[in-house]
Formats: sequence, structure tokens, C-alpha cells
Amino acid sequence: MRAYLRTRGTNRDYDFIGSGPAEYWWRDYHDRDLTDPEKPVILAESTGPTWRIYLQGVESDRSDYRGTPIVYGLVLEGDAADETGLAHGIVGEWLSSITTASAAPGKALDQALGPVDPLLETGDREEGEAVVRAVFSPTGQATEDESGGDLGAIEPESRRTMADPDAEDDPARWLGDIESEESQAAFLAVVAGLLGGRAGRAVILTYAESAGDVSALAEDERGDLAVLVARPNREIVEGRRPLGKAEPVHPQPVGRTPHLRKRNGPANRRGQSIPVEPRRRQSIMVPPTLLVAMVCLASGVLAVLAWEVLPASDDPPRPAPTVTVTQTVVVKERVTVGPTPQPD
Amino acid sequence: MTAFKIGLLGPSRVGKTSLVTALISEGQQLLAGSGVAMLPDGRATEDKIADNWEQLQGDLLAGEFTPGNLRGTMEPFYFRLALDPGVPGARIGIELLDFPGGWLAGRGRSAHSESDWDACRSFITRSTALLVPIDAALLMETYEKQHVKLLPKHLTTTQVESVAREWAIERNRRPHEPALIAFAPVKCEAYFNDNGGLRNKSHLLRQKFDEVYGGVVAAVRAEAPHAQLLYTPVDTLGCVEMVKSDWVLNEAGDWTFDAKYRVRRDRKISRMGVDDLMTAVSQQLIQGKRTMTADESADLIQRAQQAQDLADRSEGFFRDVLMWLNRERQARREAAGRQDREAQEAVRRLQSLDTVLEKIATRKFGPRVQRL
Repeated sequence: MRAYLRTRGTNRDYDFIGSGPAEYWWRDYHDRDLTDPEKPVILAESTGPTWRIYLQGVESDRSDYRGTPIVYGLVLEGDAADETGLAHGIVGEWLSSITTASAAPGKALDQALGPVDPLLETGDREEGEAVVRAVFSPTGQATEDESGGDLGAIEPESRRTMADPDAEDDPARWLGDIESEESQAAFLAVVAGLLGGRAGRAVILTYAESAGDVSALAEDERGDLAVLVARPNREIVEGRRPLGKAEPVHPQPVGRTPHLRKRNGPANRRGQSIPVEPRRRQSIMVPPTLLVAMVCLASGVLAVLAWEVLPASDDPPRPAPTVTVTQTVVVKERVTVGPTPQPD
Repeated sequence: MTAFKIGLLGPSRVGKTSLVTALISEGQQLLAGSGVAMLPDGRATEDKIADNWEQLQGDLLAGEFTPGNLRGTMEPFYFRLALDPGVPGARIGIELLDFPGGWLAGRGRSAHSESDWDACRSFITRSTALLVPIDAALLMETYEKQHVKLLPKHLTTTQVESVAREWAIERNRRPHEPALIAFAPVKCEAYFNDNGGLRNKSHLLRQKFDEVYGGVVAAVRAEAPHAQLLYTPVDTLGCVEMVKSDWVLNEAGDWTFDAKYRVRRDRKISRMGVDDLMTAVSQQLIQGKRTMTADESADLIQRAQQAQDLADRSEGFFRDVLMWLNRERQARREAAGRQDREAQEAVRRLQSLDTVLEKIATRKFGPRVQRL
């Protein structure tokens, strides 16, 4: 597992300690009007073999030079064979912190990091990762760094138990409210599944408040999908609403002839074929009288041609056509290489 | 829908986000009666404005406004708006890019921030209008020589000049397109007496602006003579009074500037100067849209004429008979009619846009605005 910790110093702007992930994939959620990645959110994605999680919004006890409170962000990347227990613990702690406004993780990170400005300037990613591992270690024991300093791990009591990823075989696809403890627990169960090798997503969306707001995401995501809505001033969503399984994009048409199939338009995002106007056929409308006249004319032309071209049996043989042959004469010039002979 | 770009060019924590949200929040009522409406396009923009508004309201209720309470920006954010001139098919999309101000300073930008900044810079140079927010308090409350020396660093004037010059060069390559650069000193409540303030130090503010931003103005004027340059001081809130400002040496050994504000009794947001800025931006955008529509309608008229010529053209006796038989002639006439209708629609749109533009153009700037 790789961890990238982002924060700001007193003077230095927000950045990842050392280096950031290769891809800033969480911005896609903002571009799609789904979530504000600067707000307290968790975005977990898994392809099955690999997973990645974006966590944002745990508050630090520090403030910048203008007195603005500072927050932490964290990106985790790994695969199903990694320490998924640690990753799940971090997600649980993060969720607890952003839903209960708990200061514990932020304080622990502050304590473990020490002065942040120099770290942002010259620190390595591994230093940030070491702090994350120490603070969120599953044992809950404070880890000591090389200099014997207390890295200040958070209390284990606030941890949630990791849900069994194999508890459900069917894809979990639902939308709940971030205020609901039941939905939070279900969210963590889905995250556990994603870390354990199931494909899908578990996301907190600050621009969403109902299933209609995530319909495009539900269509795109074929695997598990757990959505916690967190739009300010929304109506609280009671329980969990099913999001339905995404349909195949191009369903096979049933009970149609091949001829009709050709006329079907492209499928829309829900997999339903879009009706298209039948192609206008180029037709020639010929009046019958004109048709008869044309047939007569054609017959006459054919008769004349037959009269002219086909020889009668008693006619003398026609002379062969005259062919003019043009002879091309190529004059070869002798080219002398060397000094030009001078006339006497 | 065509989207016009508006660039923002200012250092970290100057109040870029607040200026944009002020522009958008006030936009609707400022444009009332002009026939033009401004709407947030998408939930991200809608929520960002609401969020900023709530933060400000919270501060005002608490009776103390500290600019530092507003969080800085850590990710680039595209504000998406729609300016609706009330003419069908003439809606104007607007994109404003807000970005972490630290990217402008460039000190210690990471590799990813570097590529982010390149994208921002590209957006800014392609912008029709460029807004340059300036911290008026920083400009006015710096007296001691050791602090005055720090002004270019804190206001990032060198970087602002460099990017503004690039923008001007790009604008000059498109002389037929509108170009506006507005220098907007923000948090000006303490320096004007036209919005509840007691003292008028506006002349001194302008003088200091000229001293510090003279190079930027000269660079833009040299590179894009056709660009409109405006000086538009803004009261971002209106109901606050500066009570304290200070340069402080922090633990890291860096000088930082901070100002504290007291909320006036009425606690009601009363922005000033934002309407002028909005009017200037709207004029530019509608003018730009008008140019585009004019080009489009000219093109459509030409195409309609060509289609009519094709429909009427004789192709010789036999071909004409064949075209009559296979209905090609009829199809050509139908196409010509269709294109003619489209051209007429574009002309109508252009005429309506002209009417709207005329209304906005007649709106006069307030006494704070100065042309540079």
C-alpha cells in the first residue's frame, strides 16, 4: 500500500508531502458535478485487483499564517494482497472523524508530523506514509520513531470492526445518508469488499442528495456502488435506497428481423435503442405512358442497331477497319565524355 | 452553448473566490431590468456560492470578519455560469477558473502543481476578460521600508505582469475579439466614504496602485492596445470596518500581513463596485457573442444563397428531366428553404442581441471606476 499525505504549512500552500499520486483521479468527481474534493469526503474505487482511496477533510489543530484552520487529505493505493486491514481502519477512522467532527486523527497527525513547512519543502513521500502508518496502526499502539519520539497513535476504541467482504455475493448498490449510522456501517462494509477484491465504488458525494443525482454514476458503475449523500441543507435520506444494477450498454434486440435491426439507432446510456427516422429512399416515379414510350424508343434503337451492325447473309464482307500505324524513330545521340575535340 | 473564459490573476488568499462569488451573487440583481439574467450552471457552482455566502453570514453574525476564516483553495475550481440575454439560442456560457494562489508565486511548486499551473496559465491567456484582484489593505497599510520592499513578493506583481503580458499578446492576435482587464482592489471599505465609511482615501489608493501596478498596466497597454483597461475598486462586504492591520514576523522567519475587521451595526452585506465590474464583464461578453452571431449569420446567409442558386440552376435538358423524375430538384428547393429559414433566425437573434447590448452599454459606470 502506498500513502500520500496532503496538508499545508504555516506559509506553504497545500501539497502532498514529497510527491503526489501519478493521477489526480478524484477531480473527475468534481467535473461530473458529484462532489467537492475540498470538502470532507471519501472516494474509494476498486477494479478488483487494485484499489485507490481519496480521503479529505480531517481537521488539523494547526492554522496557517492568517489563522485559517488547516485540513488533511490522504490518498491510498494498493491491491487486494496489500495490508487492507490498515486501509480499512484508516477509512473507518476518517469516516468517524468527518461525521462526528472528532479531532483525534488530526491531532495525532499533527503530533506525529511536527513542523510541516520543512516537510513540504524537502520531505519524502515515505515520511508522510510512515506517519500515516504510525497514527492509524491497527494495534492502536503509539509507535516510536527512530529518535524515540512518540508518534501519537489514535485510540483504538474509536475504530470500527472490519466488515466481512464475503458477507454478500450480490453487488451492493444503494444510496444512503451520511448522517445515518446504519448507512455508515454499510458503507464501511462495501469498502471492505472493495479492498478485498470486489470491483466497484464507495463514495461520499457533497453535490448529491437523491438517487436522481447519481443516475449517471450508477449507469457507469457495474460493480458495487455505495453512495453516502452529503449535500448541505438536503432532506435526510431515510434508510438505504437501491440504485439498481446498471444495464448493458448495447442490449441484444429480441424478436426482430435482421432487416429491422439495421434500422435501429444507437443505444442510449441506459441501453435502450434510440429510434431513428427511416432513411428516405430515392425513388423514381415514372408515369406509365412515359414508360411505354421509353420501351418503344428503346426497341427502335435496338432494331436500328441490329440493322446497322449485324451483316445480312448475302451482303459482301465489310472491309477491315483502317489502322494507322505511327512509327516512332528514336535518334540516339553519341555522348562523348572528356575534352571537347577542337576543330582543326 | 459557447463558453467564454474569464481568468483570475491574484496571489494566495487575496480573495479570488470571494470576488467571484460576490460577482455571481450580485450579478442577478445587478442585471435586473437589462433583460439579461445570470445563473449558476451546475450544482458545483451553485453550492460553492452558497457555501461562501454561509461562511460570510456566519462571520457577520459573530460580529467579526477575519478574511482568514475563509478557507483557501487547494484544487482548481471552474465556476460555470450562464448569461441569458433573453434571446432564444443566444445563451452565453461563462467559465471562471479559481486556483490555489500559491501556484502563481511558483515557489516550491511540485511537479503536478507545475502541470496544473500550465493548464491554468493556458486558460488565463485564452480568456476574454481578465480580473486582477488586489489586496487593498496590503497596499495601503504598508508604510515601513522593510515591508514596502516585500510588496512585490506578497502581491506577486512580477508574476502578474508576466501572465498579463501573455494574455495581452494572445488578445492582440485576435483583434476582432473583445478584451477586458479589470484591476480590482478588494476589501476597500476603509478607503471610500460612499458606502458607510468615514474617510475617503481613494486618491491615495489609486496612487499606490499606480506605483505598484504601473508596470503591469504599461505591459498590457503595449501588447494589446485595443484592450479595455479598468480600475474597479470593490467593497467585498461593505458592512465591515478595518480595526487593525499588522506585519508580523512568524516562527519560520517570514513577514506576514494580516488585517482584522469589525462588522458595522447593520450587519448587512452591501457590496460596492461589484456592479461596475459585472457591467464591464457583461458588455464584453455580449459584444463577443454578438460578433460570433454576426459571423454565424453572415455564413448562414451565404449558405442559403448558395443553396438557392443550386436549386434554381439548370443542369441541361436531360439532367433537368432526370432531376424532376428523381425529385432531386424538389429536395434542392426544400434544402434552400430550410437554410433560408435558419439564416433569417440568426439575423433575428442578432437584432435582439443588439437591443440587449444597447441597454447594457447605456449603463454608466459608478464614480469609483476609472479607465486606465
